[in-house]
Amino acid sequence: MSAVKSSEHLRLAEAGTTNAGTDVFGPMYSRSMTNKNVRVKDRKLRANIKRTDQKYKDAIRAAKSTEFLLQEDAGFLEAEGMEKTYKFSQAELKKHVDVTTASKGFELKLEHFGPYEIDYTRNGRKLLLGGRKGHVAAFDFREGTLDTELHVNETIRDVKYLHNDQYFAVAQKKYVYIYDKSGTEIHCLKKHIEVTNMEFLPYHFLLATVGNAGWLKYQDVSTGDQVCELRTKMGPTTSLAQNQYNAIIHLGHTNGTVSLWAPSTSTPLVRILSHKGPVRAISVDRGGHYMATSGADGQLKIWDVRMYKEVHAYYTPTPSTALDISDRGLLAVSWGPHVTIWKDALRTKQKSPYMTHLNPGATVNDVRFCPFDDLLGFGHDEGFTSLIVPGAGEPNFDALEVNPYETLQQRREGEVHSLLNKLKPEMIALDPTFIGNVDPRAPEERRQALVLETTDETDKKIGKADAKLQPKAKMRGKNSALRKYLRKKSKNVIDERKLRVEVALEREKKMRQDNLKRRKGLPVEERKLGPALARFGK
Amino acid sequence: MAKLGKLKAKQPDIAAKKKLEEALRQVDDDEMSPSDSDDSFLAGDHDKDGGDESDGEGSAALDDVDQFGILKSAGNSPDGTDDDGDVADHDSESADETPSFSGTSDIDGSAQGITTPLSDIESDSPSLEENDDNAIRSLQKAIDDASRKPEEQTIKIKKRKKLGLPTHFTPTVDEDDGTFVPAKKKVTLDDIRAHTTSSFGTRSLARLDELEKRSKGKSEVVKSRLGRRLEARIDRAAAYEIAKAEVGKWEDTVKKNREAEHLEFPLQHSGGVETSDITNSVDADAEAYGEKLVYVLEDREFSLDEVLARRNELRRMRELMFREEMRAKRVKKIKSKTYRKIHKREKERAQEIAAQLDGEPEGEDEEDYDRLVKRARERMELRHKNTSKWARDVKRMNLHKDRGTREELEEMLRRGEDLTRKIEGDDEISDGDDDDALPSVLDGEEEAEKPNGIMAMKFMKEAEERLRKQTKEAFEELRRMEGGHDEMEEQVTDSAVKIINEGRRQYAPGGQEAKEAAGDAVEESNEADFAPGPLGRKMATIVVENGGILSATSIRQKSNRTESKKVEPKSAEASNPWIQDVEPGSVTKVHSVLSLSKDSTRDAKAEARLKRARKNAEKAANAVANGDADVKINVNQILQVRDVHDDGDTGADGFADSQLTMVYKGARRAKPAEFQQRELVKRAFAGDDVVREFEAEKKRTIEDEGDKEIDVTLPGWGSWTGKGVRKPQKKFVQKIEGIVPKNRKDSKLKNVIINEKAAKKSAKYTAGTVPFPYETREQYERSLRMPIGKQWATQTTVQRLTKPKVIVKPGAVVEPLSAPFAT
Repeated sequence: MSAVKSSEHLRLAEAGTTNAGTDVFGPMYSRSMTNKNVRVKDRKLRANIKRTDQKYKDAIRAAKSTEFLLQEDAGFLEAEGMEKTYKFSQAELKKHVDVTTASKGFELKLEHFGPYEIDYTRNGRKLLLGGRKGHVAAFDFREGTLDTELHVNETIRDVKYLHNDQYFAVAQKKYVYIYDKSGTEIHCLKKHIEVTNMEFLPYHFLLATVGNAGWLKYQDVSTGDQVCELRTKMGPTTSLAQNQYNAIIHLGHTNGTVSLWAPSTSTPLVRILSHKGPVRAISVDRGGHYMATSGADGQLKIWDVRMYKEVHAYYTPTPSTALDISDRGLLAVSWGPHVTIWKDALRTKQKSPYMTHLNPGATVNDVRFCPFDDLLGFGHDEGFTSLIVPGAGEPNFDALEVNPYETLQQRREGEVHSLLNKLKPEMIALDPTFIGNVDPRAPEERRQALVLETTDETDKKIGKADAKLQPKAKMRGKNSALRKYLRKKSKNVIDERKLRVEVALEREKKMRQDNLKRRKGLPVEERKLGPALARFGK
Repeated sequence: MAKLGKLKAKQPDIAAKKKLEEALRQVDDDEMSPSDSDDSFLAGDHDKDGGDESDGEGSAALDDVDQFGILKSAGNSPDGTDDDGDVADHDSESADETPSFSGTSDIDGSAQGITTPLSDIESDSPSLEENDDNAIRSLQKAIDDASRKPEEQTIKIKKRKKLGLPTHFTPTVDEDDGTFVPAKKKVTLDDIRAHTTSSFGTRSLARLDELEKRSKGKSEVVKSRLGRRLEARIDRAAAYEIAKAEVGKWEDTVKKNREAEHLEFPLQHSGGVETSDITNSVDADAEAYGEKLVYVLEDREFSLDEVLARRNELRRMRELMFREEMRAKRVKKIKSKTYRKIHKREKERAQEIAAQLDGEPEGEDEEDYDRLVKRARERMELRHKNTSKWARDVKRMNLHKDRGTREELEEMLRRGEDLTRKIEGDDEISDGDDDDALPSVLDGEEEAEKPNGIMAMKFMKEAEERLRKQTKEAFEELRRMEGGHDEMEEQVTDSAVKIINEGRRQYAPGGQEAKEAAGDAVEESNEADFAPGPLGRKMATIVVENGGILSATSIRQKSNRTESKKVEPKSAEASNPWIQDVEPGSVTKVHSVLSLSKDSTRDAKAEARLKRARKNAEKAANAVANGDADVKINVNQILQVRDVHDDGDTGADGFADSQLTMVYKGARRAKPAEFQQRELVKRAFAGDDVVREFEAEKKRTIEDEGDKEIDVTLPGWGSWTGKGVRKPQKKFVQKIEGIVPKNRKDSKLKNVIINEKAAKKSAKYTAGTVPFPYETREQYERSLRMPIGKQWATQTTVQRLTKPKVIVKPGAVVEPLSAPFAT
């Protein structure tokens, strides 16, 4: 099983550049083998490097050789002669597939509380529905067993499963709430106000939300801390997606730009002018190579997110409202009541779609591919529909990573493991392999940065500790008879007594300060003469 | 027991010593007549010595033994007279034995040998004569030993001295001398000889004589010893050499172990040496051979030693072979040219020597010839021009303004000229014989011309140089005229291809020359047609065009062939844009075509230019057609809009038509096409200012992250007023370096702004410097390239990558390395 994983992750971590030396194993396994013939002076080091290279090569070969353990193959619809794949309807497909698969293509008619937002768990086991008018349902759609169904009695803008099916977050009218599997409300995130979109970063345990106010907020759901709040300064955010490769958050704005964010920087890492109208939907492919954006200007653009270059653009008849890219690179586009699925549309420009579906009379609101299955679910005005899309899901899974067939024990184990392996929010960067690399900054600059970092952290820690642990220093009341007299006396009358009182107060103050200094061990200006003679001293 | 003796020793020791003194006195009284003062001196001396001894006893185990002997005799004497005989026997035995022991092993022994009989003297007073004899014998023995092994003893003394122990030998001898010889007279061998009667004594005396003789015969002058330090240093050096050789045995093993990726203890093979395959095979062969040998030897009944020797020999050979192999490997890898050169020379020399040894002496004249050729080649290659590194440096550094350097440079140039002249002269030798003298004469002139007086001045020199240059040029001109004619003739006789390959030919527009050239080329065109590759073909085509022989149509054909096929004619005008321009004989256009043939990139450029022009034309046409020149979207390409009503006939291939839309056949538009189109365009331009905003934003970001200047002038500082006050010139500006706009990552990306500020919080996850064994950042980061965890690699890979360097099997004893091949 780990073999499966390895191959997958090799692909995930694949660097942008490939080298001829390793291309024998395919780009999937190759690492960037730059400066291959580097001249190394030190003999020992040279031998060492050579040995390491050989090891890596062997590792790649081994990973490649485990491919034969992957027993499942992905297949696509194939048309014969005059047939076209996009002409196959779901009804026709169901006739030709096995009963179990056919049963996964279903439709839920929920006319009263739509349109629906949907989400699958990471292992594709459970489905979460959230109707705009307050209906929430979490269930296992294969078994047909319901986890919970509730009505929150207010607007729901988005729903999201957290690290497993035990918890889910719901963006409601004002706040974001977290419910457990049985539908009990556990948390109310009062800092996340009027949230429209949510994403969950499973390796960092971060819930990223963005709303009409244009603030991107990261909440650590394992500790409950809010990691950071980032002000986008670009008005309401219209769409949100995460790049699974580097955990960067992509935000779509009303001015047509897509901005890339990490919790460590207060400004966007990259801003891309993608559309001339608001960005309606964003989706990034699993490998972090391509991004698809759709705008209100009716365009659908494919971007290379490594180079930040537009690969190509499509037009949609009406602006697309939702996009999703499956694990195997199928692109689902919804526009109006239509759902169109494109094969190989990222790399090359396609002329015709792979599959199409018309959902008459109901606008599609949200589309999601089901992980590890050939299913595409979409929520619409009148409920939820699940489509059978051959070739959409990754057929091989790594049970140690994400297991669709996990038992209770495995789920618990997995939870603990993932918590132990939790990544820090600062580790999120455009290039996730930066960890351990040499800092390109000048030493002085780096030192300053480090100092800043540590002081920030310690300040925070100290502040917290102070707040929690330190007993409050209870001061004696500062009120005194003299003060009271002064306070009672009208301000604008100056008489002899008042002057005296003022002097006495001043003296008291001085004494207090001196005492404080003495307690702290600081030098105190000693008066040479006593109080009686002091007035003659000066 | 020894310990007990030690403890007891302290007290009776003094008594024993006193008795010893008494005995000595008695002997003195008996044989000689010593003076009192001497006696006392001796006694004191001995006492002192004895005291030392008692001090040393605690530490030296051997001393215990002899002390015990003394103790025994001393203790016995007062109380038991019955045991006297036994004691005497015992003592005499020990006296007999100890000298031999003392001579070889320890001085203490000898001391004991001497002292014990003396103590006996007292205990056995009746047999004094015999004991006397014994004593003398032992003395003899001692002297003998002293003479026989002087080095050993000195060394031992040294040792003892180092340990801080009392030295026994010299004082004892002295003391013994004192006991037997009158103080003022030195005891000689003759004295002793007179008293010796026993055979042993005579024998030893004889040997002493012999020794004396030998020493007399050898050297009279004894060299003084070197300083102790020097000696020690030499010793150390020698010892170091030996130790080094010894330690060197482990070198290979240690090296291998150090280089080994993993070490698993206990080591599988002794020493952990892994030999290469070849040596292994050799090893196996040798082993097999050894076995055979053993069999043979067994048959022949060889001794074990011989077999072992044979095997060792084999091992040695194998070792040598291995070393040779390693050396060859190392040498093979050396890339140094100098090294190769030197070794080549060495090899040649070795070959020569070998040839000589073989008895094949080369012909002398042949050798001479070779040498001459070599020398000549060398001279030819010598560049006495200003192309040498030094000369270049001089030029670069403007050092030629320095007189000395300049003169040197000039000298060098002159020499270069000389040499070239010489070579030229040599060429001419084939024609005339008496030209041989010319260079030397010239040389002489040159020598005479060496700057003196007015000639040394700069302007004179320059003038001279100018004159010389002119002459030279004239000469060259003349030469060229002569030679050029010859060349022409030659080329005419040669094949035509040669002309084409001759190099760049200039086809200047118009002129008689060009036409002539073209005429020549036409002749060659036939051959040129056969020339392989497109270049040749192009050349041929062009030449033909130039000649104006073929008609325009043929030109079109050819040009089509030569041009890449990407250029497809769109309109009648633009189908082949340079046909109408190319007229037979019009040279200007052909010139451009020629340039194309010369350089393919220009070809591409021209093509691109044409394309661009065509596009512009088309665009303009489109804009005019639409009546909307402002629309920037290429409507033709984007909007492939079909009418709702006429899509019945498009059939199944609807998608092939609409290349650029996501629309497929099923997705029908409800609105009329024109309306759709306008709406789409409108929609596309709905937020037109979005672009401008973005550009402004980008500009702002570039300014933000770029170089910044902060005016830190204090307000009011230096701003005086009044008549005649000038404005302060100096501005206090602090410059903060940012990122140059050109170097930005998004400098070439129009619609992208990339934040150049590094992620501030990531500093703690990065390394400040390149860690030790690595030299560069690339090397280090390369080592981090591969993830090792089990999530990313197979189980075996993970195990291999995380295997520790040293593995010790639990409970295993890690033994020190044994020397390889140690027998």
